[in-house]
Amino acid sequence: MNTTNLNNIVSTKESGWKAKAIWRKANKAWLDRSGKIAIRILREIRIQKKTNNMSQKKLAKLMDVSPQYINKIVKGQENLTLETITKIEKVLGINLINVQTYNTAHSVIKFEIKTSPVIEKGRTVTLAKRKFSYKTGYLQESTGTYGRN
Amino acid sequence: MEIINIFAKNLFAIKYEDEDCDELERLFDLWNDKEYLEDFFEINKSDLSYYKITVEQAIEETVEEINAIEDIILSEDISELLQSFTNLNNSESRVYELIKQKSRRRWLRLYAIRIDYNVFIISGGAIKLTSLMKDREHTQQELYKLDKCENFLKENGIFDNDSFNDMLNEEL
Repeated sequence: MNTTNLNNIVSTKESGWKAKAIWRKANKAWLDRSGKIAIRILREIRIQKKTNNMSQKKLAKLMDVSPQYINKIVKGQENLTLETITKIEKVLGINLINVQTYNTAHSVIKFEIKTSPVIEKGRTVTLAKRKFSYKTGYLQESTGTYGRN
Repeated sequence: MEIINIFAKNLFAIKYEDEDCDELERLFDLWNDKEYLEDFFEINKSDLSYYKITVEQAIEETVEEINAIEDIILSEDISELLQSFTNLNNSESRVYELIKQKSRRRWLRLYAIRIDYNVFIISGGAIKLTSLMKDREHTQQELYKLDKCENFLKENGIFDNDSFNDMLNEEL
């Protein structure tokens, strides 16, 4: 390779990617939740657009916040407060956080299988921090089998 | 157009004049934007029928793949990423000057020009749901960017015959 020529034209500027990636990794836990909430809100706005002309702007007005703030929320990068979440739930008539007072690893597994029925054959999935491989019609873990009739 | 260093002497990304940042930074900003993902998969919902999944599932899978790629590059052992680059044209197996390559994870693509055995310059990337890049405008755009990047490298003398021969020898 003509490294001299490459070195001559490589910019002295640094990519901003690394700093952002480190931040995303450090904040992954809440960003994941924020992202899921954002998607739920976006899908609901899309559904309600047909019935009551819902939009980010209308949601902002009903919540008495700026459209810019709503836009930040739906990008999935806002560390939301319970107050804001509750306001969104009230205006859109949806439930964003469902806190279960009693839960077991077993019931979580059942729940996730029910809501994510499309799993590619041969693919390994992680449910409730346990690894399963998808066989035809059932999930197999080293300690047991789930979903088999 | 500028070349921005991403990782050691192996990975670089193009910064186009009309963009505020390099392509890697731009792509990860875009792919981490849930509003963009929801809009993208809604617009391209018909292409998802092949995968038999919903928009919500497509977003979820995309997020997992994005995190995985980002973790690889952050780990500073990017050999897995570098080795994942293959020729852009699936039917093309030979190596030639300034070869256009792609790294694929599910439907995420990073496009790059390979300028040496383990040296790549990222020209862009896309969510590719169709079999051919020319099938959709956003992937067609990536073909233009690859050409633009290739021309820029040629104009700046990044490639010469000696380097090409060295690269071929490394391949053998």
